[in-house]
Parts: sequence; C-alpha cells; structure tokens
Amino acid sequence: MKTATILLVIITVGLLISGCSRIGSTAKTPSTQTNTQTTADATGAATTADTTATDLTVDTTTTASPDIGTLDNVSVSDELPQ
Amino acid sequence: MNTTKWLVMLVMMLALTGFVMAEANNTDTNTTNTDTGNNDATQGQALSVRYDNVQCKVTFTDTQIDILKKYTTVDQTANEDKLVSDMSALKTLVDTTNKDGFDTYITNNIRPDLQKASQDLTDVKKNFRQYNVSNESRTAVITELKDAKNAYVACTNDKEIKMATVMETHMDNWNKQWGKIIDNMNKKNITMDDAVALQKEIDAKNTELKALIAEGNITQIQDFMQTYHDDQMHYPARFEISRLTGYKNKLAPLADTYNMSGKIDDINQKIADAEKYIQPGYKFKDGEFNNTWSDIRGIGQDMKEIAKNITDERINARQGKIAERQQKIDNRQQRLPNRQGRGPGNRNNNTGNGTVDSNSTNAGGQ
Repeated sequence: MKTATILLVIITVGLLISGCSRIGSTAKTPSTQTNTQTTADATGAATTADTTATDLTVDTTTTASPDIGTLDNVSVSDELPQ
Repeated sequence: MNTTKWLVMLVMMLALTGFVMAEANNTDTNTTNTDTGNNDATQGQALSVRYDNVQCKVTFTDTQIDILKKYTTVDQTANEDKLVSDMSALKTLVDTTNKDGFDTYITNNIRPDLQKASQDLTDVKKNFRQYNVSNESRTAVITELKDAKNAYVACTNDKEIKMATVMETHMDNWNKQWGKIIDNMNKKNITMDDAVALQKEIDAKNTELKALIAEGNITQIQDFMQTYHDDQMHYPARFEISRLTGYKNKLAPLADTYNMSGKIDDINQKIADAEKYIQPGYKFKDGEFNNTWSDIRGIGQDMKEIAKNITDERINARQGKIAERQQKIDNRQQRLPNRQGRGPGNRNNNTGNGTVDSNSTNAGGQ
C-alpha cells in the first residue's frame, strides 16, 4: 500500500509539472484527449493574457504619431512691379 | 504528520509555484510590438525637407529685397534680420528632431514674419513708379525677379519631390513594422484582418506615389500628398483598432466562460464608437484626433483588465483543483495507518468472524 501511495503521488506530481511546463511553453498542438485539450485551451488563455497585457499599450509617441507633417504652404510675394 | 505527507505537500507546493510562475512568465513585458523601426530617421528627414522648403521661401524673399534695394530706397533690413533669426531657431528644432516645436514655430513665427516681409515687398512693387526708376532699370528689375522666381519654383518643386520620397519611405517602414506585429499576433492565433487590408491599401498608395515621383508631375504629387497625409492621420488608429479587435475576438470566449461577456459587449460598443472617426475621407474636427486616441487607449486598458481577471480566475481555479487533490491525498493518508495496521501479512489472522485479532498485528512477516 505504501508503495502504491508513493506511486500515486509521483504520477500526480508528474501530471501537474507537465501541465505547468505546457503552460510555460504555450503549447500549440491540440490533442484529441480530453484532459490534454483542456490544457491546450488553458494555454490559449495564458497566451492571450500575455499578448493583451503587453501589446495593448498604445503609445502616442510611437504607433500613434507617424505624422511627418507637410510642406508649409505660406505664400510669398512673387508678383512683378507695376 | 509523517514524512510521506510532508513530502507530498512540499511537492504540491512546488507544483503550484511552478504554475504561478508559468502564468507570471506569460505577462512579461515585450516591447517588440511597439518598436517603430526607422520612424525617427524619416521624421528627421521630413523636418529637414520642410526646413529646406521654408528656406526656399526665405531665400526668394531675401533675393527680391536685394534686387529692389538696388533700384529703390526701400529698407527691409528689419524683415531680413527677423528671417535670419527665425531660420536659425528653426534649424535648432530640426537638429533636435523636435517636430512639435517645429510646427509651433512655423505657425507662430515663420508664417507671420514671411507674410510681413511679403506684404512689404508687394507694397514696394505696387508703388514701383514712385521711385522714379528708368525704363531700362525697370526692365532689369523684372528680369531679375523672374529669374529669382524660376529659382524659387525649382527649389520648392525639388522639396515637393523630396517630401514625397520621404513619405513613401516613411509609410513603407511603418507598413513593414505593422507587418511584424501582424505576424507576431498570428503566431498567437490572433488575426488582424482589417490591418492586413490596411497594409495592402498603403502598399497600393506607395506604388502610386512612386510612379508620380518618377513622372515628376508636381501638381499631381501635391494633390496626392494632401490626400495621403489626411489618410495617414487615420492609419495608426485603424491599425490599433484592428489589433484591439483581434484581442477582443480571442478573449471573448474565455470572458464568456468566466461570466465577463458584459465587459466584451462594452468593448464592442467602444470600438464601434471609435471607428466612426477613422472612416476613409473623414477629417478630424477639433479635439477628435486626441479624443479618438484617448478612447483607443481606454479600450486597451479595459482589455488588459479583462485579460488579468481571466488569468486570476484561471489561477484560482487551478489552486482550487490542487487543494481538492491535496484534500483527497490527505484523506487517503489518514486511512493508510488502519490499512497498514491490517497489513497484507495479517490476512490469515482474521478470526473468521469478521474481526482482526489484535494480538496478531505485524506477525505476518515472522
């Protein structure tokens, strides 16, 4: 019984660590197994959270200001003497 | 608590720590997508061309003053000094790539000072006969002024072409940078369909602009540049809204899972409101440009908040599952001593009436 308990603990921990490492590496390959599919979905959420937290910073000094202006069109005197 | 139980708890805590670290790792700051490529270079080039264009006007004005000075008693030293001072200040702003300062100085100094000098020149030309200039001198003045004007036109035409060239390079750089962002988003299974369409639109405009530059038709280049500049004011907002929409589409099913679909509805409404101001051809009215960008930043903040809430919910759910497993393990551990007490070797010590002979415990191995 003691051996069985230790084995159960090792398997449980192994599964947990495996799940964590999959989240960390943002696995992309979906699995046909239900439990792995759940992990893949969770991974997708983590990825989205990542990109949302980092990419949504809208900085007006960078992405919002590609305006390079225009040539000034102020007119200057160019007529000839009368 | 026995050693096995401590070991199990330690490993479980390590596993939970690993999960939280994995989540934390996913929120590391990544500034790649905000890199603007060669934006600073083209901004600097544009300022230089704009400065040179103003210099064309100042040189033309100074040349006319010098010409008229030869045949009249007109004194425009004050205007000339002012323009020299203005160009020196403007050059400093170019050297520091201070676009906002440049724009402000053009509006507040260059334009009024050039207009003042021009008005004074016009007054002299209108009253040219009062200076008793001979016909020969008048003809000479007209010839010199025509030459000066031809040089001025050539000077400004050159700047029109140079500005168009900078614009084409500038937008091409932006388009490439946006392409990298789109690629990165695609890798995260986030699509930006509108941004892809925008890229194609900019590519087409750049192709057309390059053709106009090659032809050298200044009027057409000027007309095209005016429209392109108006569109340019919309492009970044259109791109960002496409990106926000991509995030929103990705987050929506997860938000629904965690009962946050109402927040996604709010974002949909805010995106729709912002899009009203970035339709092709629409010109921003007073304050609308800044308001639109304020709204876009607000949507981004809302989206980040939703993503954070989803992440928190996921961590909580995972912690709950781990606690549940821990509880099961604890329960199992609590039952172990009884089973160990029975021991496999004691099966034969059953008294036969459903009870265990307590005197026979641990005797199975003997």
